[in-house]
Amino acid sequence: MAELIEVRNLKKYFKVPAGYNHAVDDVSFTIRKGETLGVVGESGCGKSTLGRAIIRLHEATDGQVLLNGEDITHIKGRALERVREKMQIIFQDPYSSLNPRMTIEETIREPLQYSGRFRKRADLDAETNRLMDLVGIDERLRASYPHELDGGRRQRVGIARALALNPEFVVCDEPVSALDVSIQAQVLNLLMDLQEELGMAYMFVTHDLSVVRHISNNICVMYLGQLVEKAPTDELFENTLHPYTKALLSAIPSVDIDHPMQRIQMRGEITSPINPKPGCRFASRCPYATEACSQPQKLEEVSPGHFVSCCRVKEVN
Amino acid sequence: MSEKQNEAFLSVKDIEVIYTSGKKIVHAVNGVSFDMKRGETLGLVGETGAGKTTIARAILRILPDPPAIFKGGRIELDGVNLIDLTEEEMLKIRGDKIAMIFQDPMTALNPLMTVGDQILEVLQLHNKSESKEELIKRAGDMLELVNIPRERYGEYPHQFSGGMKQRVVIAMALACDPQLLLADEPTTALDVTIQAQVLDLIRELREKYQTSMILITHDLGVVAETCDKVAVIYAGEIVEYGDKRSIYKHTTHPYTIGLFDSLPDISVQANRLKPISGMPPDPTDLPEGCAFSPRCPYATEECRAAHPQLREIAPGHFVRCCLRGKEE
Repeated sequence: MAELIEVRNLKKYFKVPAGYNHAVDDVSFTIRKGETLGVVGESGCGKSTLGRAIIRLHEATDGQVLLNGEDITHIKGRALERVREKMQIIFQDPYSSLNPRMTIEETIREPLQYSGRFRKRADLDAETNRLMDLVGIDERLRASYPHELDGGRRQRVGIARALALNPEFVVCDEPVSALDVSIQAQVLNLLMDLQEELGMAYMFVTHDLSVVRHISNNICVMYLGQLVEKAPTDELFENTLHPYTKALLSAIPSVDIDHPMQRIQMRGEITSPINPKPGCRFASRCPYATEACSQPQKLEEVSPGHFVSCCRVKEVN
Repeated sequence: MSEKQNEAFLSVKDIEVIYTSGKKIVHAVNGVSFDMKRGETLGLVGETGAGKTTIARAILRILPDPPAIFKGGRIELDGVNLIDLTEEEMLKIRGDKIAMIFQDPMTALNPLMTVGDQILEVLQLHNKSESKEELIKRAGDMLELVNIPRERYGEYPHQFSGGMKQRVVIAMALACDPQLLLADEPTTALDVTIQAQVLDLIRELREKYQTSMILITHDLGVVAETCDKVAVIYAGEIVEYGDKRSIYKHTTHPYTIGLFDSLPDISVQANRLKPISGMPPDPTDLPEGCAFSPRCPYATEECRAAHPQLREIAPGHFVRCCLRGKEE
């Protein structure tokens, strides 16, 4: 199968006064053409940093990122510009990711102009119209400014801009978290339709497990910079193995009033990613933790395609 | 009738609030009424801009005036109409009888005061006769109540995580043992795991102190876990109201049905979601008939022409819909 993105042992550390923040710590996975990888975790787990490091908005501390087999981790200049056209990002907050002083039309046209693919003004306008149509933004809004639009429409503008240059890979960084449920469903459907039509791959970063279930082929669960579980979507939901994934699933309030979720109690809150100790980073909150958990953990394949990083996975399940 | 009124501990009748914005008038709350019994929890559910927060602020009389104008209605707490009270009398009620938990714990706390002193401030305002030492001890007790060690009394909000800050806000709200708690999206800014902890805490404390609560949220899952009664708000009106079971099991209003349908269901893998088409109406220019009719898949001419009234379709279950009220 064609691997579009391959991430090998990627690390991104940030220097802070107290030492190093291990935002992304030794993460590996692949994404195939046209597929969606969901990356789930709580705030501060490093999921956004991971997305940004892959598309070179952050310089990786260590490890490699391959796009179509080519190592793009440290490329520069022209080569990087060429790669940037293929990798785009949709940001979380449509209220702050659009320039308030540019009209919708100008915002969507900007990447097209920058690419130099359209010499004639008429072509440029035609392409801008096509993109607005593609994401379902009404013609009459072309001269509007972002503040005149509601969140759902603003996010559509963000999507049009990201898709302007036909990328092969799009990082969707919590693209629906700021939206109301009824609008969230509209935008998720749009993203899925566009993928079917245009065939790009998504890395879908979110804290919402029910959203990833709908959109992803594979899911990675992240905790404090590391992957704790990685599996095809159905497998992850039907055969959840890692204690953290289980706790995360059980914390979602259910609308089924007759069968409320049995909640797995997680102690305390997320610990600090600054200079972490070598053992399992979830151990301090894990209801199953023992002595053995202070040893370094490895992501191991327990069934085909299902990886878990927990030394007590057998006892726990 | 009179007996029923005595039973209601909070009674909100036909409140109407508008905001003025230049020449435009925003119709934020358009005739909302509900009753609450002591110890009950009411969930106010709706999307951004539906008027949920405005209702809560109207009850506490903290609407910014201008631009907000309270056009009419009664808000009775234990038989006293809060609207008739002077500002001075209202000060005694806020924080003492009615307290509010705000959405964003990052901005609800004063960054220049220690968390303990912020709780102490509430206690001092409402317990003028007691000594400071006694109140400091009680502020410490409040911290422990929300599972924060007393030793952290002297720390500042920035030294706390989001979930802990929200617990401090809860401790402040509960400090004077209020009869009514207004919780405005208390967990929206938190991660699911921390949300679960905070909801458990709110539930425990409510049971312990028999506090009544109005919980404002857009999350139907949170309502399912916390509330007894539910009011669904759309364009400043209650469109469906009843106890939790009738709303969740006999969902009737097309908007409420749409809300449930648009939720991604974690238990099944379905490819497409079912969103509600269109956008919420512009509150400066509400549609003539039913406010939901432009987005409603069942809307008829009748819906667009006449504004529907809230009708009781089953005991205690009210729906504002021209079509659904009749069928049954």
